[in-house]
Amino acid sequence: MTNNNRDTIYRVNEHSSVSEKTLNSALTDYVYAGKKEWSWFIKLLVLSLGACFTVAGILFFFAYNWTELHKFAKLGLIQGLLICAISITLIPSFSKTIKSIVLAAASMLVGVLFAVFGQIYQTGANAYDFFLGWSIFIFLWVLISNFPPLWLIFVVLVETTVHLYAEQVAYYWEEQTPFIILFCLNVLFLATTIYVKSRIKGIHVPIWFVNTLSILAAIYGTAGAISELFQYHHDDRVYIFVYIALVVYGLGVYFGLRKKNIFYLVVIAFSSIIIISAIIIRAGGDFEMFFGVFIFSALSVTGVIKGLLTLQKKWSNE
Amino acid sequence: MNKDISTEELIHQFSVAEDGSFTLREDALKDEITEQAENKTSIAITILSIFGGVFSTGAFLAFLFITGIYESEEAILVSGIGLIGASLWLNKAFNKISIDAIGVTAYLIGLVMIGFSFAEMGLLPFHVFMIFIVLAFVSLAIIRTFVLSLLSFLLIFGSSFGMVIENAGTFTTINIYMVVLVLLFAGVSLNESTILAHAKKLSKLYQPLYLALVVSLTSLLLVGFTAINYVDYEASTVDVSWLPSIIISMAILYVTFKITSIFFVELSQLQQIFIYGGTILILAPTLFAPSLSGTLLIVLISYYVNNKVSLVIGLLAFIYSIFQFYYYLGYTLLFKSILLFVTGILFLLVYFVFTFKSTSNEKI
Repeated sequence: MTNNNRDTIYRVNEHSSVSEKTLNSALTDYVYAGKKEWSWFIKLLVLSLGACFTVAGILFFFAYNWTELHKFAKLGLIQGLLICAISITLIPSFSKTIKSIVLAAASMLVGVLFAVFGQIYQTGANAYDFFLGWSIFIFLWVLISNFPPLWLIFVVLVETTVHLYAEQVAYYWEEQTPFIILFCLNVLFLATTIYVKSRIKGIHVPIWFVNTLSILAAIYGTAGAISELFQYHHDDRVYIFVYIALVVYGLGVYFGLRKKNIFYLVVIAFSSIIIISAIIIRAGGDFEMFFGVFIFSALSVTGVIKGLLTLQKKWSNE
Repeated sequence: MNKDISTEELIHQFSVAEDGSFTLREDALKDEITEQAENKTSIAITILSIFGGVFSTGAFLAFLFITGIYESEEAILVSGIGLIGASLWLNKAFNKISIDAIGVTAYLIGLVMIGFSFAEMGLLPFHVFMIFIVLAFVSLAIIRTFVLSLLSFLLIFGSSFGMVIENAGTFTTINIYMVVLVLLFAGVSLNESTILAHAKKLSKLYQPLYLALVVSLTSLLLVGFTAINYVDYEASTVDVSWLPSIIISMAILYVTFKITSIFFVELSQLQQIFIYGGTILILAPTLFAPSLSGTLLIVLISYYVNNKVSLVIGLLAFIYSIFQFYYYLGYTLLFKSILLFVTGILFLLVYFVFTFKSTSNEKI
């Protein structure tokens, strides 16, 4: 990798008497972009700029004339685009990547279609059922697509639906309830993903997707815990959440250790340190608490990092 | 092309190329390699350390404020200097990533405290900036780690821009500062081997300097003119708003020359006119929009020297400046849509010509 090459060249240069000319040819040969890279880059740059500018031009043209368009024209246009996109995915001669990207674009077009429908007919629907409808209608495509970015879009849509529902309809809910629901939802997605990854052979689940879900679950878990801590009255239901969280985190640590995956351990450590700091702030007084948090966080982070680095070394030696 | 090369192979190549006048300090090299290998760690742990450092130093700062330190400027100044001193010492003494994060945060907070205390004491911003620049140079002399060197360089460029604004801030001076920064960036990035060969002891400062130049130039191009709110309107100005774009275009022409020499050893007169003329034609609309040509220059140079971070920064900045350009263009939406469409078709034509030419070359 050229980063390593650059480091190697820099290191040898620093401790030797190599001349400028030799150094320059080393950099040109091993670090700088060559003919093939430039050819690829210029083609990609010009193609992307060309495609984006052309599409932008068309979009702006429609935007300019949007209010003059008849409502059937508006809906018909988007429906036409949707049908074109789906037709492309059915043609066998296109590569799988192109078909997946077009399917993802079609999923976004479903949302656009609903938005335009809502705009034309002023349905007065709360935003949450716009997202709910969108998620439901693309659910089948997401299942069959085998395309992780589309899965991510779906996850985002479902979570947005829950957020907006909590904000607009269930405003009598306490603050931490949506966080707890989202935490459980993300854990469910994560468990499904891990199950699919280990049991079902045909589907390739990339690491970034699993990691993103873990981070989301940890974020909602942490937010839920903190907002629960600072509530004035506590429900008994909070104990269910605590149990679930402890079980999930425990499982996370277990899997992390078993699969030698440092990511789960780091995320859980991160989240736990924040939660414990919040507990310290809640429990302590004014002056001492910040000092306590400072001492705790400095010590715990150093300790955790040391532990994780030792673990990593142990794993790489095995 | 760009295959991996090991240290031993490289040393061998160098000694062959230098023909006997090549000397190597093997022990120092071996020490450095072992030290770097020990510090290799995953990105997750790096982020955790950064978070840890920021969080704990932030909590310490909160503690300091609760003790009422903000009531005395001298106390803040002393704490600030102490924090910076501590960060420099930590950086020099230890080489672990967890200590690094605390060191960086302490440095930043120390800077803020020093600046704040001087401002409260009534020092002119111009002098505060000068003190920051001196501080940055002192830090650069002491430390060699990437992040702190990067911060020091950013401090130098930021403070010098601040000095320009405070002392003589007009459109003219901002444009001239832009030209200086562009020339510095092009000079540093395209002469990597010269600088490295003649300043071997400072070679660890090259990458931070490069990245600091990219970040400073990008910020200046995209938002530099908002600093105009702090300037003196009465001062007379000379309109040189066209100057940065001209200098940038010249730099882009030079980079084009370097790129074409990768493809063709020699160019015929006609080919030269076509390529350079075409480049000037494309750059003509950017005469009063240096952000477009400047970010394009950053993209081209980043790809040339193969630096992925600055390439990403340059590309994002380029896309943003295109948005800015079209947003502020004073024409109707209809005209803009036609302009975009025509530009898009032109780019696609260039693409097809390029693809056609390269496939026909391959056939030959």
